[in-house]
Amino acid sequence: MSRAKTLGKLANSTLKLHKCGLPAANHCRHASTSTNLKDVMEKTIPEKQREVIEFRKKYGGSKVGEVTVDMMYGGMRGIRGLVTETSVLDPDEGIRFRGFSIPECQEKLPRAPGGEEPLPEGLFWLLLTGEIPSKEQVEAVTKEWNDRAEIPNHVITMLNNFPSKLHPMSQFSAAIAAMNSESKFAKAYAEGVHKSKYWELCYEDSMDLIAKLPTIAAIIYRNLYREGNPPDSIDKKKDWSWNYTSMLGFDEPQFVELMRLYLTIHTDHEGGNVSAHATHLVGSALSDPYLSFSAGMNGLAGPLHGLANQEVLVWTTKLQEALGGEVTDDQLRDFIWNTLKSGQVVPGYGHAVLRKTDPRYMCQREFALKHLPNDPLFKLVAQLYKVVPDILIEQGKAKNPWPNVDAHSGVLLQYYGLTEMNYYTVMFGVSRALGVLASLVWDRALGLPIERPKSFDTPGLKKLVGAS
Amino acid sequence: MIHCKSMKAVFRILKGVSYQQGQMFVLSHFHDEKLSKFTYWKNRYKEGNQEVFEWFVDPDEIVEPILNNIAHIQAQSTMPLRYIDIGCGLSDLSLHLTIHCPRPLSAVIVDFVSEALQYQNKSYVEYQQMIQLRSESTQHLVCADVLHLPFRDGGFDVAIDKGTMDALMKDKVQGHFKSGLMMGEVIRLLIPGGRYLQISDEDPDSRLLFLENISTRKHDCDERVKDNHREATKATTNFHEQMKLNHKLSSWKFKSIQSKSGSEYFLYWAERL
Repeated sequence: MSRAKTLGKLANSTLKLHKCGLPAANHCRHASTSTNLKDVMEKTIPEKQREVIEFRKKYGGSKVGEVTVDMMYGGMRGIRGLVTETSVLDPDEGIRFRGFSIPECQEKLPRAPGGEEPLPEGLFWLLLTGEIPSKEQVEAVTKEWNDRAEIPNHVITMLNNFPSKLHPMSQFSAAIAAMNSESKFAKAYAEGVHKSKYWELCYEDSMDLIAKLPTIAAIIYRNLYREGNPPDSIDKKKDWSWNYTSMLGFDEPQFVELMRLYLTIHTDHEGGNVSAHATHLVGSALSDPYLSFSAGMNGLAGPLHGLANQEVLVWTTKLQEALGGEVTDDQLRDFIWNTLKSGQVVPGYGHAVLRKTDPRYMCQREFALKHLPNDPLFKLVAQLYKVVPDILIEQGKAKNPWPNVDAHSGVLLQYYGLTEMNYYTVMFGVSRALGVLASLVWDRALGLPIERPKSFDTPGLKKLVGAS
Repeated sequence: MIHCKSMKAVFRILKGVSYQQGQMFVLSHFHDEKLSKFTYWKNRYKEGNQEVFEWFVDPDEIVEPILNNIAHIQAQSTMPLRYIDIGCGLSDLSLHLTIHCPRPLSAVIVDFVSEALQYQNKSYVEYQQMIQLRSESTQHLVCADVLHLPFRDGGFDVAIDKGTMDALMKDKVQGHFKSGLMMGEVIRLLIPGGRYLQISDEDPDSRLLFLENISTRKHDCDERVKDNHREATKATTNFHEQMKLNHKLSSWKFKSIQSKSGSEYFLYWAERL
C-alpha cells in the first residue's frame, strides 16, 4: 500500500479504546479465548449488529409468508413472526443450539471433572456467544454464578411465608418477580442510561438471576417437601447443577450428573413457545429481566406448556399398576393396541415435528441404560419405546410417531427419589432461564423494539376479507 | 464418504450393544423405512388381505374440509370436477368424496400396486349396487408410479395426497429427492387455478418449510439415484434431467384437523398459478 493511502486510512480510522486501555483491535484476537463472558459479548455484539443491519438493508422488504384468517384465530400457528438466535428446530436432527445438535453438544461441551454429562454453564456460553466454550471459560461461568448467588432477605421471608397449598410454580414466579428489587437494569433505566448500554445491564441481571435460581428453587422444594429445613449454602467448589442438587438435599453423584444433563437439554426450544415468547414479549417493553422471566414462568405453569412430563409419568405409573410388574412385549403390544383402537392417545408420543426420535429423549434413554437399566419403570418406558411407534404406524395414526422429551424425564427423576411431580416444572423453569435470558440479552443488543402485532375484531376481519 | 457413514453406523450399534448386558440391541429398530418400498406395499395389499385402511384421519373427519376447500374451483363450469387421488391405497376417501361432492366428480385413482386398485374397484362397485351414483361421476383406476404420472399437463383440477409423500419421505437416502419429483409431477398435472391437497400428521412448523422447499427448488438428477430409481420401477424411463419449478405454485397454507382420537392432523394445500 502506498504511503499516502496508509496515512489516509489512519486518519480515517477511529480507535476504540477498551476498558484496559488497549485499542479494540488488539482485543479482537483474544476475544474467543477470554474467560470474561461479558468481554466476549462486547466483541461479538457489534459484528452481529452489522450483519443484521446489512441483511435488513438488502432484504428488509422480502416477504416470508402469508397470514390467513385461520392463523389469526389459530394461535398464530404457522405465522413466521419472530427472530430468535439461540436455537432452531431442525426437523431431521432435533433442536440445534446455535447450530449444534444435542449429540454434538454432548460431545463438544466441557464436563465436570470425573463427569460425563455436559455442564449447563457451557451451554449458556454457547447460547450467548455462538461459540463452544473451553473448560476454563466454563469454570469462569461457574465461578461467576457462585459469586452472584445470594438472595435478598425479603425474598427468603416471602418464600417461607407461602402456604403449602401455593403451587411451586406460583411460588417460583412470585419470588423471581420480587427479586427485581435487585435489578440493575431497572435502576439504570430510571436514571436515564443510554440504550446502547441496555444489553450490558440485561446481561448483569440475567447472570444474577440465573445464579440465584437454584437457591430459590431449592427453598421452595424444601419448604413444601422437606418440612422447611433450609438448604445448604452455596459451595464455591461445586458447579451450578451440583449446588442445586445439594441444596435440594440429594447427594448421589449420579443424580448430579442427571441434573447436569436435564438442565442442559431443557434450556431452549426456539422462540415461539410460550415461556420463551412471553419472556421476549415482556422484555420488549423494557421490563427488567426478572419481570420478563417471571412472565415466562407464568406461561410455563400452564397445563398445555409445562405439564407434559407429569402427564406421561402418571399414565406410565398407572400402566405399570394395571399390568402388574413385568410384561412381555406381546402383552404390552396388545394393551397399547387396544388403548389406541379405543380412541385414546399414548401421552408423550406422536407429535410429528421431528422425522426421527427426539435426541432429548435419546440422551435421557442412554443415561438410563447406563445407570439404571434394571429399574422397572425404566424397563417399561424402554418397552413402550419398542412397541408404541410401530403400533401407531400399523394403525395408520402417524408416520412419525416418536416419543418426545417428556416421555422420559419423569422416570429418571423418580428413580433418584425426586418423586414430587408438582415440582418438575420448576426444574424445567430453572433450565429454561438459560435459553430465554440469553435471547433477552440479544434482544437488547440488537435493539429490538416493543412487540405489538395488529389485532382485529371479528367484524373488522370479515370486512377485510370481503365476507358478508 | 460411505465408508465413514457405515463406520459411524457400526459404532452406534456397538454403543447400543455395550449398554445392555447380554442382550443384542440395536439403537434404531423401527422398520418404518419399509413404507417407502414397493415390495412392502405389494405384499401388504395382497388379495385376501384387502380391508379398508385409513392413514391419519377417517374420511368422515376430512371430507367436509376438503369439499369446502375446493368448492370454488371451476364453480361456473357444468363439467365434472377432474380429480386425481395420488397413492390411494386401501382408503375410502375418494369414494366418500365422490358421494358427498355437490357436483359430479371425474375421478382418477392412482396407485403403484394394482391390488390397491382392485380394492378401490370393489368398493366402488359394491357402493354402486347399493346407491346409484350420479351418472356424470366416473372412476378410472390407473396403476402408475407417482414420480411418473402418465397424464398430460394441466389435466386435473384437484390432486389429493393422503400419506403418499409421507411414505416417500421414509426413504432416508432418496426421500427428499423423490418428494421433489412427485411435487413436480403434481404441479405439472394441475391446471392453473387447480389445487394440490395433502393430508399429513407432520406439524406445519416443519412441513410448510419442506413443501416450499421442494416446490421451488431445481432438482438435479444424480446418476446413482437415477439408476436406483430405474431399478425400483423396473422399467427404463425417460427421466427428467432437471426440473425447474419456477414459482408455479402459490404459497402453502394449512388447516388443523382434530380427529376423534384426539390427535391432530393437517390439511395442506397450494394452488397452481
